[in-house]
Amino acid sequence: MLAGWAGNAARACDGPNFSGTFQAELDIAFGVVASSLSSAGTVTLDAATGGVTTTGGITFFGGDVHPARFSGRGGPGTNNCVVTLTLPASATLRRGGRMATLTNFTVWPASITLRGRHPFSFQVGATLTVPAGLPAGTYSGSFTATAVFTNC
Amino acid sequence: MYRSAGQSIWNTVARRLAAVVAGFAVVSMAATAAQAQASADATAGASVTIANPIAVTKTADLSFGTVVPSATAGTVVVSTGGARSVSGGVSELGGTVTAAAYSVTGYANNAYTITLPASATLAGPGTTSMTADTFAHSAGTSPALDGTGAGSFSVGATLNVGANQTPGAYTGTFNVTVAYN
Repeated sequence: MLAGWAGNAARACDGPNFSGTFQAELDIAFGVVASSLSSAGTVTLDAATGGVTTTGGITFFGGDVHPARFSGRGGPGTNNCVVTLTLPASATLRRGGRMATLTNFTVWPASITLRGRHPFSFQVGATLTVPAGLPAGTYSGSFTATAVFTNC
Repeated sequence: MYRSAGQSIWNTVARRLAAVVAGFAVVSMAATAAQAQASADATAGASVTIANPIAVTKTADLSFGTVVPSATAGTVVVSTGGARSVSGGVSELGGTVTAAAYSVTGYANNAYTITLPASATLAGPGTTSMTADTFAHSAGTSPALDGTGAGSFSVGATLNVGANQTPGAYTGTFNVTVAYN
């Protein structure tokens, strides 16, 4: 009962349950790229600019390309809370039994200091590794970002 | 538990309790807030569309047909359209004359480049040989795949026939490379 009451009071940094909001607003998308028959390659999506760079046997064609976006809003008592994102070491994009791998997640900005209940937003980029000869098609997956609130 | 079907009852209970214990709660929260850390998770999707690599397949060989040498060197040209012409001391004598032909597959509507060899060697009887050069393709200055991701082009070249070239069949190979722009 007492814990429930504390939840109603919406003190974000008073316990393990964040009382503000945090959600994924936009998926990360790498557009259309051609694999190579002979060599693997990578596509890196810049978290801040959404720009794309490639290495190896990859041809980038554009299309629907953007970093992921995570957003939220502070709750009562979150003024001056510092928010950072924690991201996984890797994630997998699959189609049938084949896959491409996401690594080296990056976050922009590195941290956000909350002002009252103002909204906040992070963009997330990553590097996609495309194996040689990866068959054509759309590969999809997901990854989880953890917003960590400190210094409340 | 406050999101369960019994939410309204629990809220009522909770509020009453809150009125009773509020004084204690404020004290305890003030004590713990300074070092508290909270976190929340959210999951985003990730996607990429993989297009087929560009690929080229030969559908016809380049063939200069049958020509007759003389004491004077000459050339045999097969155009990208498969038409043969001769110059110098070389004369034509029928045979099968074709331009090389290629089909290309890849990402629809995308431009690509064609790389042709500077020269190729055709080996004949014994140690004899001839050289083909001046390769040309029919795809123009801006080759591009069509809306289905298909393309095609043909390749012609010039064969250099030496003076008194040894009679016989001469064959060789050359590589044609395509790449996305």
